Amino acid sequence: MSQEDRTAKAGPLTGYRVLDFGWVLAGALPGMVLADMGAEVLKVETRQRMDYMRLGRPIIGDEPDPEQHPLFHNVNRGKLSIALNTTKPEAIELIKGLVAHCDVVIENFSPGVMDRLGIGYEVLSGIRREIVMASISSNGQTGPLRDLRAYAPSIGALAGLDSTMGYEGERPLGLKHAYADIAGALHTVFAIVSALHQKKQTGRGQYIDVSMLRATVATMGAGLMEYEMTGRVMAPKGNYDPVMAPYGNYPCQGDDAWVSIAVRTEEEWQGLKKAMDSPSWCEEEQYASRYSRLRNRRNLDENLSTWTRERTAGEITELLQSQGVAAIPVMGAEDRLFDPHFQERGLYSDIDHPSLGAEPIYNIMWNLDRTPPSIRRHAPLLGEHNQQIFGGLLGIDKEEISQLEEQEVLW
Amino acid sequence: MAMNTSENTSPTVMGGLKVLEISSMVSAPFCGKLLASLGADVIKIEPPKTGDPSRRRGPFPGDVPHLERSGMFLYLNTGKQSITLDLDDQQGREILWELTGKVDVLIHDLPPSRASELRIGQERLAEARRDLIAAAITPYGSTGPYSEYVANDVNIFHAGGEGNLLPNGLALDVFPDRAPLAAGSMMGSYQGGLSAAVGLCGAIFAKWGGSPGQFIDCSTQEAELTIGYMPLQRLESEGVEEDRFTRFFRVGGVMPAKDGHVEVLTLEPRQWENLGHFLGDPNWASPEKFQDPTTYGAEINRNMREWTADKTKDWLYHEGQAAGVPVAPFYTPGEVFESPHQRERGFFVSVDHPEAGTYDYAGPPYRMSETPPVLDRAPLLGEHNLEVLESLGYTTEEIVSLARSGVI
Repeated sequence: MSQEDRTAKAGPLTGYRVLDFGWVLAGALPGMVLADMGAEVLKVETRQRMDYMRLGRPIIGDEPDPEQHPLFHNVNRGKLSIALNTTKPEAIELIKGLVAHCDVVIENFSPGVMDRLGIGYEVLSGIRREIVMASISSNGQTGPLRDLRAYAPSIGALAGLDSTMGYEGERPLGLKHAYADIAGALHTVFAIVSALHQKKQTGRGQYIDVSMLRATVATMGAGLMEYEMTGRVMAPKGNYDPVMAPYGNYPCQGDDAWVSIAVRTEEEWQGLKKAMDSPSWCEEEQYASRYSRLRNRRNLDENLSTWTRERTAGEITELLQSQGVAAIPVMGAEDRLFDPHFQERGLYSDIDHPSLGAEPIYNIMWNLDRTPPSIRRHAPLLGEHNQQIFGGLLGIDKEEISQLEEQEVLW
Repeated sequence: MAMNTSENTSPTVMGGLKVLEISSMVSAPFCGKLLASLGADVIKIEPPKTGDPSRRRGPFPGDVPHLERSGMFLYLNTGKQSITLDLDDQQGREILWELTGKVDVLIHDLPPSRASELRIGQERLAEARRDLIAAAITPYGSTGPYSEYVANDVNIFHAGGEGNLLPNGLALDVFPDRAPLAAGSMMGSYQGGLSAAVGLCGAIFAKWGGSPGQFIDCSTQEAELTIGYMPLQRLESEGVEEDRFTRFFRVGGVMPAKDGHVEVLTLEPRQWENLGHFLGDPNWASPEKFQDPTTYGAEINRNMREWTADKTKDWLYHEGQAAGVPVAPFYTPGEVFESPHQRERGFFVSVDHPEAGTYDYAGPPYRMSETPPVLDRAPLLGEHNLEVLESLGYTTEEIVSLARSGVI
């Protein structure tokens, strides 16, 4: 689909406006999704304390440049940017003025910051009763852990997710990834869109308090139940599954090349045998039933590895899938970009950015055929829309805007 | 702010929305659960007698397997109704088709060929069920060369996100020849269901605004990609393909404690300084050495592991935090369950189930001030057969005969 086609259709949220204080990853993602759904998202940022995603090594030249970070461009595409220095009282008044024109407010500062700035939910809902406000934090806005200093990977540790990740019987290794940001952000969008519907029915907005820790724990349902129901604590078990064998990643021809294989049923086991052209080890007594294969999974892994090592991950995938057996190469970034499947499904769009030219921006991860999500514009330059927004929405004239810029209010 | 229970009458956002779910295991059930938590009426279709495979996976109370007592099923199907239907039977398919005419949303996890076989393929729905929103949550999406591929959690996790990069850094240093590692909780599958729920929510919102139904194509593998943005970006912008060996080699990571493990994560120079002080400013943790983790990272970590090993994880956690070092304990699921913070915030909700008994379930990750999410028990297998079939106009006699012939 060409860019024009993607931008042509209205999204479900066309006509809604979002005041987006969200920053870094967890805070930026909800606004990104809402923008792709058609909302007008005003990213509120400041030179006083720049979004971390704008910092870092530039792609072109050696000078730091806040406009050169592809990850920032990805998670802020579709948004407009206004630069507002919230340490100035005038800026706070401007924010209040904007809220009267907005439907949603998003923020992920430390709990308490919005209140301290005088723009907490109480104040904002006083200005506009219909406002839906979402706060995203590590551990929620209340409770003993609300002020904890934690990066997303630490949340994985606190949530119990990391303790389950490691080779069987060994120490936990952890996920080391910002999954908490992503899970928290997706739940936030889900709650916001629902609240907008409620607002339409009743004319009342509401306050949404999202905990990234909880969003991570929500993926641990069975682990928590195991503790409750049996008193056992889920421990690292490598790639082993409690009911499937073989199951896991197997070495292939090539450097650090692997294929993941999972066999669920007897029928699939027969399919695997057929795909391998029935090597003699398959007939050993120790692999005669699902139960015995599970019991002897370590031996099974060794035998299966001797077969996988001789072939590429791609070959194995085709052989096994043609017999209805789950297999797929363990994909690196390059595999994912150039994989024919992803190419056909349109993993990304090329979007022109004033600083970097055409660059790949990843499309949202689902498609709706009637109101498709779409990337409506490139990520904004810092403060790019000061004139448009403060002039257009608040009726402030050009001269005054320049003055506010000089006074480092619009900054 | 109390959680809604069935006795509570606070309004729900999706109250009155009718959802039909054909699903098994994690991804699609998790999506349906999220809609149910906002008050949607979700009817889950399960195979007669055996039900969703997650009913057989456990964990089970006292380790005694029972279809109505599997923790995984109970957690992933809260707030739903269950009907049993043999979809390989012609009458079963007829009932399925009738049901699609009575609901607003259909969620399924079938590849395109199977959906067509059940006569609920995208084209037929678009033609004959214009107001229906249909979401297909499949491993690789409903189009493209892999649309018919089968997959389980390990496949999804390692084909989509950062699975290929795990373990990495120092962990990999310890055992370079081991296979890439999956998360222990079926995280990849959960991510697929969550991502689909957000897309679905957009379609529901559009329908509430007067749009007709539409088809939503959700690939769990692509949902993982949200997790794997960074390596894709590095490849694009710097031409660097990250692998487990080259990935950012950093100081810290998983450290042993007397009673478990902690994670030490220092990303900013200020925190390295704090960490040096926290460790008592030894030579091996000097600012110069912190600045060259490629050379000194292994040495620092070896020493640090020794230093942390005789301290408790809570001591390291609280003292580290006080010293400005982001330290986090590796809590086990048990410790999360007992956490005073989560208890205080009312995260866990006690839910009674006639067969499984009363357990505390993890609730939704967010609070809503006006329309609090709800959490009701999972259904018994086929618990709502009578009710649902009666609503379609079947007589008691017909329903009995459907049961006898194994259709329901």
